[in-house]
Amino acid sequence: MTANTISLLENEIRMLFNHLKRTITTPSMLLFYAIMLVGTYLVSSIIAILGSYEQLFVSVATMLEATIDRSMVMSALGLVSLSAVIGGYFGRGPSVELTETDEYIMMPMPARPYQLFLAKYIRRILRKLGFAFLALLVVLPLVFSSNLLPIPLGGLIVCFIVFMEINYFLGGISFQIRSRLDRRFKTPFRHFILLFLALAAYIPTLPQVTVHPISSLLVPSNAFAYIIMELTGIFAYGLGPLIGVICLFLGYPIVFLVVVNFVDQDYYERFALKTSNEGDESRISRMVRGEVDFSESRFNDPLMWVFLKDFWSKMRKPFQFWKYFYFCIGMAIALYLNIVRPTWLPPLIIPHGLSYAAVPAFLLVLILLTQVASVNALLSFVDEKENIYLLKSSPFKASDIVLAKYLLSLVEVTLTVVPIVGFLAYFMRVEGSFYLLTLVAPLVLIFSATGVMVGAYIPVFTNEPSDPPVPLAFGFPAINIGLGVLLMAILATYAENIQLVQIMPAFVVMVVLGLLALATFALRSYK
Amino acid sequence: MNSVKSIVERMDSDELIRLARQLNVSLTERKMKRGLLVETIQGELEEYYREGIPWKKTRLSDLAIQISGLTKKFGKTVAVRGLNLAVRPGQIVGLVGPNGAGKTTTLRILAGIIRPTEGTVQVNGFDMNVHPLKAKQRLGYIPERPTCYPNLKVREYLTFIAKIYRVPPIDATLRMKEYVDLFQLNGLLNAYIGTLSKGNLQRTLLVGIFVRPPPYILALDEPIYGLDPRGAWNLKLLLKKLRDEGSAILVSTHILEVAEGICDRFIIMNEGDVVGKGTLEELLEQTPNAHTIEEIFLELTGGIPDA
Ligand SMILES: Nc1ncnc2c1ncn2[C@@H]1O[C@H](COP(=O)(O)OP(=O)(O)OP(=O)(O)O)[C@@H](O)[C@H]1O
Ligand SMILES: [Mg+2]
Repeated sequence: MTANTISLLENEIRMLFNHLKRTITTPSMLLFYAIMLVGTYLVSSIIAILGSYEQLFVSVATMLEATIDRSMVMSALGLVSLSAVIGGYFGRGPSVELTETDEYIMMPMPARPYQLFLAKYIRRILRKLGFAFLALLVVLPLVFSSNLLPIPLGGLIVCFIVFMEINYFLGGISFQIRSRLDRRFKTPFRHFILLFLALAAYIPTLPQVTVHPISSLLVPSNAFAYIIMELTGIFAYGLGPLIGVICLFLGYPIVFLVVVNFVDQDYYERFALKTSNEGDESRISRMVRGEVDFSESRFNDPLMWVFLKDFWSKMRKPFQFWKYFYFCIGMAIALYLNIVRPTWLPPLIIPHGLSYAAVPAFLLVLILLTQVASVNALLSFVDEKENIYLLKSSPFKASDIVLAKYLLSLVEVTLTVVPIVGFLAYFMRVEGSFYLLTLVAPLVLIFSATGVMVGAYIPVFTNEPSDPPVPLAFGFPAINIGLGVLLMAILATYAENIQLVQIMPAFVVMVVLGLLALATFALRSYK
Repeated sequence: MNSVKSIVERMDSDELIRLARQLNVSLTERKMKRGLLVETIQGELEEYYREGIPWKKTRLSDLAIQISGLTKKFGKTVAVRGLNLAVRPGQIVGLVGPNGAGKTTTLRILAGIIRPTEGTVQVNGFDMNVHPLKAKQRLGYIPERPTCYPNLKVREYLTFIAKIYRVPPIDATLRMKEYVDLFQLNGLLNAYIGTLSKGNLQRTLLVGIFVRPPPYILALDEPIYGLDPRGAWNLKLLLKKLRDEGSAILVSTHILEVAEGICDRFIIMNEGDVVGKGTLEELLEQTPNAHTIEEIFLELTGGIPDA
């Protein structure tokens, strides 16, 4: 490494360290961290007490062995690598990690793109390991109560990180291949390379190839699948995970070095041009992307105005279109499953004796799924970026802004959740699962409110409204899981009591109003 | 040498001790008279710069900045079309033009952030595409919207810059002191950049350029923007001083008083095209209707509006 690479790396690590130092010396941040860690720890201990999951794991394992086979695991993980390759080809590759500050400070510096890439990458890994360690610490009660062994579990997590990093690099490789080809050739046939890349990633994971045990070592996704199978015992060959681990850990430096060698000016360029907006699109695609002048809408109500503004500016992101697409397709499939009940795709029937453990597990799945979907709500304020200050200084009432954000979040979260609920209703038949599924409604109501609240607090903590501080971003699921478990506790306490129909809505309304009031309060106390 | 000595005299005790350590002055006595320490350090520096102050000897290539046939397209928008431009050492050239004229795009290409669609850019005689490191070594760039890493302290940032540009530590300490004083950043050296005001951030970036030794090739995008009157005045004075000492400077601005006050020559751009270039006198000749730089600007970029 040249002196410059070391200086760059030193600088990245110093920033990481300073960031940590600033966080733990700011009482409000520290408080949020504490809430997040202690909260998740408590929740995971409560969940650990509620059920004994060991049995559940055993029965799920047997069930899995009965319904799917080894090659399906390999193919499924192969899909992960495949999507990384395709995503890298169409996406921005490793340049997504760059920031505007990097553009202004680092790019004009006498350093090579790969040096910056190296420095930023090592920082990314350090951060990731830190988070993985914290996460493992916090779920330890759950680990012990399920009789999982912490060391193999930790090993599995490390292998998982390595596998995902390999995928990140695969994406980086296909990104660089594309940008090199784009520079040399103008013919559209150049895109055929994607076909080759995709085949190269996917063929080794096909059942015809994976029947031979040695194929496990062919590509990283096979190696990772092999490690999972050996560690969990499902479909294990009984050879021990070591060979797979070696293979995975050999693959990592290889793809890493390939990417480092590939990274060139395009790494900068792709970032610097990200806002570039090629003006040659048809009217329909412009409409899909939401380039519609909403300021001339008929709505004078501020709440409606903010709502529409957000709706259309969201539509401007290409991702949004796919979200609606997903909703329509997902809904269609869910309806088909629930109405036709195809025999070739049977639901998982959980044995009656296990329902004691299965119900809490089912509820947990429900909470986690709603949590994942409600990230949209957190983004409702983050997406405003610097404009949040403009919005705040506009003649709207803080409560109107909060309410508009909340309503749009509800729409978004519901769109994401409904198809999933449809799948759950079909596949996971636990005792009373149909009634349990209705719990999604209060969860969505509450989680969206938490998201809006946390989002509204971001500018209170930092000057950079587009970049939520870590404890806030993690406090969000922690608060949600806490509230979710509280909801379950109410349910369990009043399960046999008719008063439940009064207590439950009262609880939800109170929590939602409380959270929204906090958000309004936050909006009034910006730095 | 006297300028170096006077910098040492202005240093406070922490800075003196830091410099003494770098110079390997032994600080065995627990207490030392300030005057004595200053004298010792000055003596050591005299020894250190025995062969003259290194940065006074460097010369730039005769064409410090040379842009030829530069075109940049973003999809179908042409941001810059066929731009030719040269800046020699000892010149300040103003890049003026209305919003969206292509000034920022030109400077971003010059700084090596994006590649041109066509044409070449040479800095200090090195082609940006072929020898990017050599070209960037001399270049100082101030972006349009100043930002910097919020989690670095001002001092850490400046030291980092000095390292990357391989400024010897003693030179860096002296230069840092000189320019931190000039831009009045003394009280802020230990502040996190994320907590600075906009003008102070701009000053930090400027000091980040000047810890490197002169002569400079500067690409400044609206450098006055955000500075208070004193900061602006200091900067204008500094730019003229640097020019007289042999730096080459390209500034983009649409504040015409600033341009008129400091620039020797102008390039006027409009919608990607160069619509006028030359000294103020040459431009006045080209546009008979115009009598001031403001009128020249209006005339060349769409006509002078009727009152
Ligand atoms: N990344 C990009 N993608 C697409 N178009 C761009 C991009 N950057 C600049 N442009 C376009 O190029 C043209 C020139 O922009 P540029 O920022 O260089 O103007 P400018 O002269 O600096 O203007 P201002 O005085 O407002 O700073 C504009 O039409 C702008 O829209
Ligand atoms: Mg500009």
